[in-house]
Amino acid sequence: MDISLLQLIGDEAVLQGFVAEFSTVSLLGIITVCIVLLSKGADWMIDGVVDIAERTGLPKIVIGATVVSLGTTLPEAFVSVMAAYMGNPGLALGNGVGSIIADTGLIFGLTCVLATVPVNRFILNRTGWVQIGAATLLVAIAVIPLLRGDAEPTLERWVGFLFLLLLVGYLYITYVWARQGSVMVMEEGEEDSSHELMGVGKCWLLVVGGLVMIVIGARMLVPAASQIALRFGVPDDVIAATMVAFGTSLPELMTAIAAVRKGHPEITVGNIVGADVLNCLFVIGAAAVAAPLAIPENFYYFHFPAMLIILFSFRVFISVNRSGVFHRWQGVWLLAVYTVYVILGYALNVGSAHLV
Amino acid sequence: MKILLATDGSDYADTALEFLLHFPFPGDSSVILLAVIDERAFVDAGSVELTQAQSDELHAVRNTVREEAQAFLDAAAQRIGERGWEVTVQLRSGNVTEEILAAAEESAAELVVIGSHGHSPVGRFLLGSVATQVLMYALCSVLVVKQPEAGRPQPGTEDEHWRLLLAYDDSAPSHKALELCASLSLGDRDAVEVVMALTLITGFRQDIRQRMNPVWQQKKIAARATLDGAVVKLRGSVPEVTSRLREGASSSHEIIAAAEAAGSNLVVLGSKGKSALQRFLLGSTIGNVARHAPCSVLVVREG
Repeated sequence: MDISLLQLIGDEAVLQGFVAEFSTVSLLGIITVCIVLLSKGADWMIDGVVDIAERTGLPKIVIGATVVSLGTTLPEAFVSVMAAYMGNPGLALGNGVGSIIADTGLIFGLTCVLATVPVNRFILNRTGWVQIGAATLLVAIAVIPLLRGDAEPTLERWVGFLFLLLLVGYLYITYVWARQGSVMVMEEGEEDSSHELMGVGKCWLLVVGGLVMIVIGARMLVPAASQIALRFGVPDDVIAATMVAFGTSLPELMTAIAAVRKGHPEITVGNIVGADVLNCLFVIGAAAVAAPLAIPENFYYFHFPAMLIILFSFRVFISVNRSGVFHRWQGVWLLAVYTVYVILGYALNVGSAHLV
Repeated sequence: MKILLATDGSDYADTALEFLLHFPFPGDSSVILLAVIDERAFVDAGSVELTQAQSDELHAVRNTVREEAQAFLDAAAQRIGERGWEVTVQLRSGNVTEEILAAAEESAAELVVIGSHGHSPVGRFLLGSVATQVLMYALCSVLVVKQPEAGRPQPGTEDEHWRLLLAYDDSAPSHKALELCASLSLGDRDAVEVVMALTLITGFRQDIRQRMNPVWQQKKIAARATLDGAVVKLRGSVPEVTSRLREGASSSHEIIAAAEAAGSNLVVLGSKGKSALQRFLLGSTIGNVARHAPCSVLVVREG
């Protein structure tokens, strides 16, 4: 089949057709490569943007609260926006909701099992409530058209704009909270060899290069994942909520593992809670703006309940942990819920061949 | 101190001997000088029919190698005797690393001293295979002696005072390392710098968020207090003690950078005794430091 590179990039039908030619194993390989591109691209972009931001004199607190947090959610955001744009709302929503479940269930659960995570009341009494509030708002907004009796419940564009507006508010208030809750002072006689500013050219190269990698990764991942869903006989949202969500949550996972290895598990609380908020407001918000998202039936009896179970469990644990740390059994519970969710996702749909 | 010095007659072994002779051990030491000949190269396995002449040649070469080893052992023993230390000589045959480790265990040595390379230093390897394995598997402390940088004199002499770098993390092994430093007979112009490294998660620039966390601030305060405590302990016996708190992606990198910045001629650190799996999953600070440090490295272990 004679296809030009431009057609491949620009024409979705051509891209879908091209992807369909590959064997299942090759497709899984392509998905893996895309996931690596997404993670590495995000890493580069963050490196570049942070250095540029530091050069402009932006305080580290602002950078930490905005750039670094948004940066690790870039893979999810680009994939969901790309999926929405390419007319695959199940994948777009599934990735967003699945990432929340993966972050809290798998990543935070794993961290609690491997290390002692302190209950950071400052973060959990602020961002923690935004986390559960945003997710509940999403479910509430999604349920309204269902209750109204709509034939095809949809997350309209205005919901996307609302979420992005809330995102801006959230970023601002995160900055305010960060200023209240931290002291970032470099003192005399200290050596900070952790990071030297790079040349401006290199910064921009990293930003642009990283962006290109993310876009390519997302562009290839969406049709490949959709194709895999077809071959496995599961809906797109299940593949998105499990395989794709896991892949796009790789930055959070790698950070959590590094945190445990280096003996600093305390940063995981803020990272995961923040990521959950961003997955809701940034990822799903941006995707809904790109294109209105028709909500597949699956979400009402599977994805949304699972997400709420995990998030409310998390909330309960915070309230009952008098000793000031998360307990190992709580990590086991979160991991178990995640595992059951993944297994059921495939088990419930085998043979149904319900496809977008 | 009971010391085992492994030598092969190479320049590196000579450097190790000189280092040892100048090291400010408290009181007298006894030294077991050990050379190992791998005689497997000279074995007539009988799989090839050798003529009488060839067989004789093989024996002759083996004997020559033994004589050479005995010769450099005797020369080294004499130098140690001049220092006033008790010395015994051992010539063993077999696998070099295994024999060194066995000899160390049998003699209950407290310290094994070994040169970083042997007779065939392959440029790309920062540490020879024998030194690497002895460092990892010995049950006692190990001192790996590297060639000093070009033009730099032997430490412990008039032109080069001891500049020790003690890598400290308040763990039990690092306490032992500190005790060792405190027990040394250092002179007025010798110095010890105590370094503590706090690790940062630099992937995705999470170090920025990490530093914003109040727990990080608490860790820094605690680290400074620990360092101050270490300095106090050392001041009793060491004339010049300084301390430094470093932050970076890896503790081994910070230790090496500190050694370079301070112009150290010896890095001292405790061994946590990690298993092979732990070393694989968590990394080996000792391995990294031993390979990349700009100077000799002393790894302190409980005997």
